[in-house]
Amino acid sequence: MRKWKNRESLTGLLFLLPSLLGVCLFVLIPFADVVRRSFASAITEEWVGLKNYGDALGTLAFQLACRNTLRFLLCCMPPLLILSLLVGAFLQRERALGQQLKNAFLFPMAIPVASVALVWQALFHQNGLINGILVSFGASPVNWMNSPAAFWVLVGSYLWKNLGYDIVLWMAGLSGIPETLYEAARIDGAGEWTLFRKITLPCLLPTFSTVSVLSLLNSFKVFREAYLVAGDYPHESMYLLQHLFNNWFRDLSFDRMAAGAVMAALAVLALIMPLELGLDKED
Amino acid sequence: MTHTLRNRLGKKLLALGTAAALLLSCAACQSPSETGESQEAKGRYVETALPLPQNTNPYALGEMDGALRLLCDKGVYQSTDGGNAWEKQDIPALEPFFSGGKALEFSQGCWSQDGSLIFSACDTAGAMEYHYYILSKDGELRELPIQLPEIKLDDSDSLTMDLDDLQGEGSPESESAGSAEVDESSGAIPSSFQNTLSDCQFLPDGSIAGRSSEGKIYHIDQNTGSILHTLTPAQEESFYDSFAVTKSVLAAYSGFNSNGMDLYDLNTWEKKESDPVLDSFLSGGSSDSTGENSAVNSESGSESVDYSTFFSFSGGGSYSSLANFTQFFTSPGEDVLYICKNSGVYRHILGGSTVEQLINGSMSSLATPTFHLDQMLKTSSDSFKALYFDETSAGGLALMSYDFDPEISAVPATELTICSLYDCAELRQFIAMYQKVHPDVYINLETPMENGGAMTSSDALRALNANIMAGKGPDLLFLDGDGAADGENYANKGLLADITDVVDEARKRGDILDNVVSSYQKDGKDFIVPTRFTVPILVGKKEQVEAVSGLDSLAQSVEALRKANPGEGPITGLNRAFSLIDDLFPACYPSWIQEDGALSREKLTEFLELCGRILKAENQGQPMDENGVPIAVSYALSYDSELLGIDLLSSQAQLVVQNMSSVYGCACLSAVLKKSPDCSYGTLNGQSGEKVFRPRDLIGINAKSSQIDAAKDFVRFLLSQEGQQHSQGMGLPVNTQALENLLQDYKLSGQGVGVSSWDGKIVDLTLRALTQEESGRLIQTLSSLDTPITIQRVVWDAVTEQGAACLTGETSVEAAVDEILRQVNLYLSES
Repeated sequence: MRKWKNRESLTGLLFLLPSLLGVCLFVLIPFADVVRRSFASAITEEWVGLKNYGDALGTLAFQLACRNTLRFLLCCMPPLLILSLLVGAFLQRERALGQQLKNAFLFPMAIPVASVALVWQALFHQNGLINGILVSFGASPVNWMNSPAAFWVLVGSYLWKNLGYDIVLWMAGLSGIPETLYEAARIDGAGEWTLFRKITLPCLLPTFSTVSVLSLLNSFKVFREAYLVAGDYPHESMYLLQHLFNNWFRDLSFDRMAAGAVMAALAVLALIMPLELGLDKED
Repeated sequence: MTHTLRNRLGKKLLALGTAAALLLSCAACQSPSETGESQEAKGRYVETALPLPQNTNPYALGEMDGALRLLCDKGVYQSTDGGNAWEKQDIPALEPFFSGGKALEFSQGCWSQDGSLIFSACDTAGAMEYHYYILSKDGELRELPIQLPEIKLDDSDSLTMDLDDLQGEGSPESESAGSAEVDESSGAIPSSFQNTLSDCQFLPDGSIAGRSSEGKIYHIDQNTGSILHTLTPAQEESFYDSFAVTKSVLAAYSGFNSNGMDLYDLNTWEKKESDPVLDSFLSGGSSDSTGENSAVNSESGSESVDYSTFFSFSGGGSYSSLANFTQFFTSPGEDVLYICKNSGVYRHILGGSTVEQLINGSMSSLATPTFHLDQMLKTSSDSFKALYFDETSAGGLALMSYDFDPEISAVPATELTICSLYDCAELRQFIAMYQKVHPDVYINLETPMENGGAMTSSDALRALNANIMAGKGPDLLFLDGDGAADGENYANKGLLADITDVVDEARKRGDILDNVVSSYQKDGKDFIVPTRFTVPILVGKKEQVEAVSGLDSLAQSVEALRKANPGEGPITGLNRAFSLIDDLFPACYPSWIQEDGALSREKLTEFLELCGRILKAENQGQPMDENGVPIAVSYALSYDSELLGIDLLSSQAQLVVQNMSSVYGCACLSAVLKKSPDCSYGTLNGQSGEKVFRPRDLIGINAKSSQIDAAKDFVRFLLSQEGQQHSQGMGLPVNTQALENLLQDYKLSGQGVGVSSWDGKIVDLTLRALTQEESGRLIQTLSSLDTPITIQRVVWDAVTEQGAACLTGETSVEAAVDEILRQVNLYLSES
């Protein structure tokens, strides 16, 4: 029996190996090098201890980028999770129509980033479509990309692009909840809100963890649109950590960039770990 | 069970076999150098200069029975030793042309394989008509009465042809060909123009093909001059730029519309199937396909090359002018086309599958910006001869020979790689000159910004950084524009090698502007040095120039001039918000920088306020269009204009603010001052009176380079008099001896320029080289400059955008300053 188990473990390991090798080669080993560089000088690679961390934390641009990134996460994640859950639950109920609408919500994901950037420029330019509409209604135009409004453009873009993906994830979770649970509760006199609160939400906790982690990781991809539209130095409200890392790389500040990257990785880990631990506890 | 085991064993063996095959194929992919079996390739064409007959102007180079023949303005010359010695031929029929007996001026000519010559000449004394002549191999001369249809202007000003009398000889229309007809209804615009052949070539059967002014190719009878066939590009409004004749094909090139090559059968004159390999090469498969113009020379043809100059803006307002070209030539008895480009000479067998490079352009004069190819010829001894127009030589023309040497390495043993974000004529000139005196060194120029249109300078720098950190970076870095600030950054980060010893050599010689080359010195060491520089200057009446010591006094002077001349035209010509900010900001920028590196709010506010005063005074009482934009446009007042000071003469300005950036500009200024004795020039000082200059064309050596010594030798050459003695218009040389020689260069004198003023006045000016005293005074002024200007692109963008918005009233000074500081501080806060 034990031999059989070892054999099974070995098979599992063999299946895991190609992926593990890829992750090691392209993620773990390079990241280990980043950690090493975060304690060394940029060009000569001499050991400097925690100096790079101090320098990075003392950089005003790093503080601003951290603030903006955190603000972005806080402004994006809750609306996205709630909105996608509500839409997902609605679509799950409207089965035939829901299927078609689900595809429509997925459409933004199929649009290339360069095209999205183009749409942004057409919509949010000083003389763009939205300002045209505002002016036609007698309102004064808004300098979308060079004012604090730029941040909300970024938030809107993130929600628009990721809503469909999260809806699909929620719907996958919803379809896994046995119908019998709802029927039993209905017989017991539970209303729709109670069903949602007492059955749907608890049963969706594992999905919540997955959706949260994926949404968090996807939030970092919004940089691509921001970079294509506003370049290296966008309005300060949408200046994210990736902007800073990108510029540090151009300016050869590899030391501070490595320290910043390690801190950012730790922060992401700190956000993900409770979710994972919570999930394990639930299981 | 046995069967299952056998199956498993079979699968394992199959897997092992596949893995072994994969490994073997990987091993086979290794290059010889990786396997340690490197073998040096031998043989390449080597360029050598040949003499030309003295004081002659060549028109056509050809070969007959192994001897080179050259038609010049003074006679026909022959060389039997491959171009080393020339002997004048006695051809009595041509003497009237050479002696001035006929008032005809050669325009172009072409030799046939048997020694016949066709040439055209313009009747300069009469109606400027073109005549065509054929000189037989026996020395008999006869005029060929070629009658081409006129080029007529239709109502929409497009060129149309009257083809009714194509076959007729001596028709009324054809008799009038040769003189421009004035349209009586307009009284001024000619309704038709003479159609001439700008390129004639002999065909294998002795008949003639010629390309006309309107871009068609005519097949012409060599005896009667009548037109036998007319070749027209299929695409409407397209035209043939050039053509070449092989054994059985006439290849016509229409580069302007990217149509590629049209191939015509010489027997049937039907269009043949296109050659996809050739078309692909011409349309971009080649290494330099951008912005090119073309011209064709046959083996015995001669035609001026049409050069297109395009400007590639490198950040910070600098530009480079590079002429790209494509020429074709053929060799008798072959269906082979030779293509000549900046990147080299290529050979293509028509219908073949490859285009083979024969001569590497970068190892010859082909890539030299000051060398313009006029004609190339393949001789029977398999060498190539090329006639160039050389801007830098006294005679203006040069003859080069390219002979294959099977003994030398295909590529020189030492290869240096230079990375410049932008292609730059100045750098190409440096490289070409260096390689001429160092044939053992091959310099590979990388210009990442030219390869992809969508790449930004930041992208290019990131890619460069990644390569440098991976140990695959270039040996030398050449930085300008956006890159100048990055060059300083590279030096500060310790990525550049110490080149103090090389710069010190130049300092010890005493022929270098130390104040300029020391711009980026760090702790007494040089890591990156400018090889060129520009200086903002002020030209105007002596007392006005002397009165200006900074931006404040400039504003006062402009206001005073406007007050004194309320109804007159522009004062400085800086009458638009953006150009005013863009031109004045660089000089003022150094005074804004505080000790901590941040920008001074006070100085920035003062700058915008003073610019506002200048603009207001400038446009006071001036005619405006319906949008409130001043009508007067100063054409010459681009900041780097070579027409230095000419606006004073054309009344486009009373106080000219410009950049002194070329020797040509200095000659122009010298001529202006000669014409206006009460005028003078001086440096335009910074906002707080700093004597500012802008270092350009920075060079540094990658500290990780494995060829530091070879790279230092290149830098040494760049700073030497020999390396600096040329001017492409992107800056003044930092070598004083080279600068002095160029300023006093007699070639500058006599060149004429004309410019029209805002009120339609045309001003002609003849350039004038500086005297020794004048050049000495200028160099003394340049030696006193003390503040280098290095501007980051982020700052430039923020200041020009917000500054212009402020001056046009879109935003207040305070709001503009706030916005500039916000944008710049974000950038500054990263460091």
